[in-house]
Amino acid sequence: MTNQALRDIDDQVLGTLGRPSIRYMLVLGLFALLMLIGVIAYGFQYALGMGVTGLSVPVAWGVYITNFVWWIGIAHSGTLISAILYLFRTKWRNGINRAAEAMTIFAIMTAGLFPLIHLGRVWVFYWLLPYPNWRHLWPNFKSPLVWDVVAVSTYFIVSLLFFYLGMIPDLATVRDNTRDGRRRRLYTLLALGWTGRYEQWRHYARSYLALAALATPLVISVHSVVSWDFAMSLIRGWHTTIFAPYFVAGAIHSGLAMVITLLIPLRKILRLERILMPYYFEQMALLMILTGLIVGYSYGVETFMSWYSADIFERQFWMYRAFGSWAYSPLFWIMIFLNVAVPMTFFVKKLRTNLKYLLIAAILVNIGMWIERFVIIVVSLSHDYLPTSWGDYAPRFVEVWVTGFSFGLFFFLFLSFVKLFPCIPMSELKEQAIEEQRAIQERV
Amino acid sequence: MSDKVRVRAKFENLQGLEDSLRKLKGMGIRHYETYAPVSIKHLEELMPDRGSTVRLWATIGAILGLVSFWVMSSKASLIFPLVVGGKPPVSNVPFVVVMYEGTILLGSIAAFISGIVLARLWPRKPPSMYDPKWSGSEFGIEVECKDEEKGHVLELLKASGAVDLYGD
Amino acid sequence: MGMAAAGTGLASVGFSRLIPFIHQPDEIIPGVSTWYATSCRECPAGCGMIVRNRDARVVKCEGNPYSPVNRGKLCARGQAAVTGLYDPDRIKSPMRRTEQGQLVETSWDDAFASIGNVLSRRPRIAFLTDLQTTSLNSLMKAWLSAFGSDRLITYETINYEYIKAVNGGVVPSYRIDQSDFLISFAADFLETWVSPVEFARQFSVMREVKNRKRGTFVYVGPRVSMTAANADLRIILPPGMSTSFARSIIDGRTIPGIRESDVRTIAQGLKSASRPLILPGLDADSARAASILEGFRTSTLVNRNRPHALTSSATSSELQALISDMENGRIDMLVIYNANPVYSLPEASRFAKALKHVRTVISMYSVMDETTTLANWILPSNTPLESWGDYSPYPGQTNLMQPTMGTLFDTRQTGDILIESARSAGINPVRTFRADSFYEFLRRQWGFPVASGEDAESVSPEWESLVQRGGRWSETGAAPPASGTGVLPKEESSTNREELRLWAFPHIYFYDGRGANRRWLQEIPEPVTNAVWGTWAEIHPSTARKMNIRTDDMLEIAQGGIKVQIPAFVWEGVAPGAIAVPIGEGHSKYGRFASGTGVNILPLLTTPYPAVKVRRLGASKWVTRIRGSDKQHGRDIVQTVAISESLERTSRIRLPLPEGYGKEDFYPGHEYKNHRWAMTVDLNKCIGCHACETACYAENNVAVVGPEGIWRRREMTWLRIDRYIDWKESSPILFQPMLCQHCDAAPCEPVCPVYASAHSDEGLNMQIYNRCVGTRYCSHNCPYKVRRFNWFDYQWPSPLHYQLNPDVTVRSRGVMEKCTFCIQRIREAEMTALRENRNLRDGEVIPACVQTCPTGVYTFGDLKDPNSKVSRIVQSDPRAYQVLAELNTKPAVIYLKRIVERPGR
Repeated sequence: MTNQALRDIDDQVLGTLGRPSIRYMLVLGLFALLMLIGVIAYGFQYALGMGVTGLSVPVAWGVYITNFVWWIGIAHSGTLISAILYLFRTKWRNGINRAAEAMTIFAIMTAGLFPLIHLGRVWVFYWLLPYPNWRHLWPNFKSPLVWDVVAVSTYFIVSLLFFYLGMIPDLATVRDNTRDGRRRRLYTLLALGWTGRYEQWRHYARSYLALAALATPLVISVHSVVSWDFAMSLIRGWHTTIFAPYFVAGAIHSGLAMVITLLIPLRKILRLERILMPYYFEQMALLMILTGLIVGYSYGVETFMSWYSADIFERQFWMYRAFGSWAYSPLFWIMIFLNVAVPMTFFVKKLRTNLKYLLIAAILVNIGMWIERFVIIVVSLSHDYLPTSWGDYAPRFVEVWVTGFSFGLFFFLFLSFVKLFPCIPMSELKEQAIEEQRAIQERV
Repeated sequence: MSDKVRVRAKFENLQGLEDSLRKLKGMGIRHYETYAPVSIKHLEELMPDRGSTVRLWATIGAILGLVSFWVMSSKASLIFPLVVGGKPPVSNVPFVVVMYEGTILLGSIAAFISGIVLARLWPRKPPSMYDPKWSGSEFGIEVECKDEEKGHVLELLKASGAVDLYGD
Repeated sequence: MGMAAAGTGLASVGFSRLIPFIHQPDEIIPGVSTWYATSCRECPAGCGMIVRNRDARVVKCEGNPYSPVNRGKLCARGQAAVTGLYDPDRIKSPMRRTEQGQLVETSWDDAFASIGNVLSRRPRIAFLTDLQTTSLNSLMKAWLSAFGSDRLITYETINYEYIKAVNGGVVPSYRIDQSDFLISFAADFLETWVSPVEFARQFSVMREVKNRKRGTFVYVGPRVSMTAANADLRIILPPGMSTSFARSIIDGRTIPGIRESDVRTIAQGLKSASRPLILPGLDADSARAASILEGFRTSTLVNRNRPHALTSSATSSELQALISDMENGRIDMLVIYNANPVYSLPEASRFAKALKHVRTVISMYSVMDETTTLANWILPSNTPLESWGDYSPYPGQTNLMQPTMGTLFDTRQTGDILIESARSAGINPVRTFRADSFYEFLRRQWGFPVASGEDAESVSPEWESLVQRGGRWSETGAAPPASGTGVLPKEESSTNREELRLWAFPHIYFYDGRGANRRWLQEIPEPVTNAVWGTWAEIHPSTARKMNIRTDDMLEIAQGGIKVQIPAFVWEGVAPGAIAVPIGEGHSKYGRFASGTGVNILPLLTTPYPAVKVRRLGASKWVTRIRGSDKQHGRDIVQTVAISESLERTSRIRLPLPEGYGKEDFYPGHEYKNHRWAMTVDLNKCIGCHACETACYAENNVAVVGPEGIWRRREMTWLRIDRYIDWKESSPILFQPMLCQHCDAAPCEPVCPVYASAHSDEGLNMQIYNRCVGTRYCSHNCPYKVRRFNWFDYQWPSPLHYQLNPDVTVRSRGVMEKCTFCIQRIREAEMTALRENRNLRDGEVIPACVQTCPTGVYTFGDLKDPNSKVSRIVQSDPRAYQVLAELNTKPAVIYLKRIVERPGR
């Protein structure tokens, strides 16, 4: 039995950590520029007030909360891949789970900025956190927004711990293959003196399994909690029990699409064609069929319930959303097409194994999911109980550039991560390789 | 009482390591340490069993999280007992969500910390005897044996296919 | 609430300081309000007013409960009077025009010296003033005669001359409350006609249902005004057709476009009524129509022996005479006070040119308006809230005015300016006017001459109590001086129905334009069109379709060589042959809020309702208005009950008390120890006048967002009057005051992450401003959408910030706000009761909206007190219902259904 396979894996992954090309740095710089413009735009809002946005009463949540829900949704797929698929002992998850988990971390970081950005008095945002203080003021734990704070913070901490723990053996590998002084010191620090002793592996494995088991309910609960930001209100279009499963399915849907969007180009750029097999993407596409169907079912349930409830507010709202608004109704139908119809094309094997098609379809699904959040948030608010309060919303330049900031931040972080840390879990792939070799041997 | 010595060997593949472990166990030597770039759970029966309390700590953390978040939200609601939306100050139904997240949070933190601490992981350089290839594609073993057994062990290891043998 | 007399005038104390007094007068306690009685002078109605002065600053105006005209209530204009006192564009010191034509500041001494010089040469003087009565009027006359003139012209833009023409030369008094059949020919008596607050109260009495019957109200006019919206039957005719319509009622002839059944109903009603009343509108056609019907059925409710002060307003012929005299150089000096003919006359440019022929033009107005900018001398007067004086709306009823705070700027009382200028001209005021100052003149007029050696301590107690009460009101007294009677012009031959006629109506808030720089009045929507911050031209859809016009399209309206551009507002509330445009906007110079806002159509009115040419321009301009749907869409928000239906409660009231919680509720209710505040809103009494909304702006430091803010749906009003239109109903326009319902199970409370929205132990839904982080979830969860957010740090340009109520926080940006049931007033009443060691009485707590409503829409009280008026209404009134009750929010604002003619849905 040779260790050639193991060395191969190591070489390919360690090869991605080399000095980035000029083109890579340029792209990174572009995203940094996007971030800078976003910060300047936000500066207007901080200095002048929320009035620089397009928000108003009734629609007091717009693009910022859309972004928040969208980015958090994307995060869920990473945890699904690393935690849930680990419990199911799915093989194809081994190559992609680190990149997916990194996507989760950065998506949560990006998403977590938006509840702050949309606050009217952001300088006292810390009042949302439960911390002891002399005036004995605590947040309102009955409020869905505080559930949000707890859930998203929990999700971030747990994901980070899970992510870091999983990376320790690979950090040791990188440490042992780096000669450069500063970087080596960083990896040495982060690898926590990992030597691969059996004791370490034993506790590590137990810890990893426990974290995977604990992160699994997070996938369901965090986006359920985020959906309850809406479902706990009394707005028609928000107040419905299907929201929790609907949002979770939608989150996984958009997250898978984002993983595909990130990894297909990454595969080419970092030359990981032999590690990121096309088979993995096919599996993700199949999963997307499932989530797309759940999302489609949810649309159907909403429609049915609007009619079945015989509630005048519910019925009139659905009619408005589907047909009544020249601005929003087209968005509604586009959203259904992009989120449900496009993933159904993955039934065709030729399509779902074509990486170029998968990339385009994934981007379309991402756009569709963003539109879905927008439609849910803005259209439900614009058409509620008292007709004299109906109003609409369109984003203004500050909101557009701050959204751009979020994209800049996410991609900047992700692309930096990929160059600094091993984005493929070498130890897991090596473990898988050894198991395969042993399986072959036993048969012999 | 003879001195304890340490014998170290490096293997290029897992087979060799497995081999040597069986032989060592057969010899009756019990103090050895393996170094591997992957988890080698299937060799569990060959390793001295010391068990791991990580799961216990994770459970304790989870229960602690459940209880403490309930206590926190209830106590916090009683300092200024404000009625909101017709709900009494301490309403357990909304608190369930917070408790649920708290369970996961403290359980995970406990699992992580217990894993790190029990594995004695700490930001430091690896010991001087550590071979960098052990995180890559090669395996290692360190045997603690009596001086007299040293020769035997060395032979055994060589027979299993070790490269780089060295005594203490 | 103790009322105070200001003694011999409040000195100009340091109102700009937090602690204004070093030696404070005995009756003034820091932190405790002092109330001064005076008269509202925002329009000629003459309502009595009491003004709250807190730490040397005026913060709120309310109606004087002793005044029989308004009985303690004020309309929106009266509530906004305080922004006239603090107008940021007030003239701060006297000014004179230099040789080069610039206006520069000068001192009073210089001004009096120069003017005295001119006066001593006995020029030919004409005095142009707005309607002033009793003392100031007498002084003006005496001043003029001291210089050998008698040319005092009371110029009111809306001069009621046609009403005088059909009523023997007077504007009579009316008793609407006693009528059982009321017809109004375009007389908007709830908005701008004669005495709106008085008539609003009378109207609400007339409309009470007794034995399934109540008085009928028919409105005939070219436009569905707010007054018309409250009618049982509306006849919407193009202008000029009212006379034919009146004739058709008498002889039954048909008029194209009017339903025969309507004519018969009116004829029948008029014949069988025992106490009919017909109100003439401002234009000749309406006045003639009213007099024709009056000839048919004389009304006992019109009292020509008790004429209103408006009788003294000059006719247009008097004004024409003045202009022609000016043009021909027969006037050497023109003194102008509170009149703006360069803005409001149709022949404004002629007047402006004529001014050039007058050697000395003096304006005593307090704001730089179009006429004042052309003056040679500007001697700014105190605003009415800073002045001594009086005003007599009816014979025997005179309001006594006193300064309610020190003067803000270097201005003087009008009477004192006259006396001082006479003194500088060599006249001895004591001999000629028998007074050395206007205050002495006033005292003598009232029968309390100032004795020599009198000081603040030795003022006669009768005078003190008169000043405290705010006037002297008896049933009989001297009639106002007659002025010229207008002559009804010849009746026009049948109007060409193809023409479009311009119907210009006084804006409910700006009247003839005098209120245009009051920013609250710009911000608060006009009741039926919801328009703010600008002018609009109302067109009927059938007319609009012919010209391909839609709402917001820019129109060019041309008449007699003058063209104006106004955005269109297409709706069915205007006659097909008419274009209705409000007057009062489009100032070129009148302060920062009025200048450039809207369009002035007064120059087009060379005839009362001229035929105009209307052309659609390519551009469009949004008619600034509160947006949102104006239909109910079957949601039963404003509920009505027909007068013929039996009154029984159709909807369950979910009480905002523990008793209101039952099987449907997950949690039990929560107890209230002392009080549970609640309010009832009687939709049958609401006429839609927005006085309550303005009072709320004044009381609660509500910010003004301006037209851009309104476009972005960011109006800050805590209390709004929603209006719904359904032309198929018998009452097509429905008004509903919507404010925070202080729900018992408030959906806005549990969603706030920081407890900024919580429930108080007296049932209020609190908003804790300094805790609010600004997530805005609460506004989403409020189904009534009464929560407003501070999108910016809204400003109060100096000196408007002195008006801010010190008992109410001023909110910064990023914070949510909403109606608090005037918790500051609740607390004040509770503390007073605590100090006096007693319980609160029912009716002791009066929020600002409740206080000012002229028709008594609101009742506020304690639901825990079974004997309070609110409890009794909630228990027993069959019309009671809650808006969106099915959401189970258990609101503490209970509405009473509006009673309409015929059953609706």
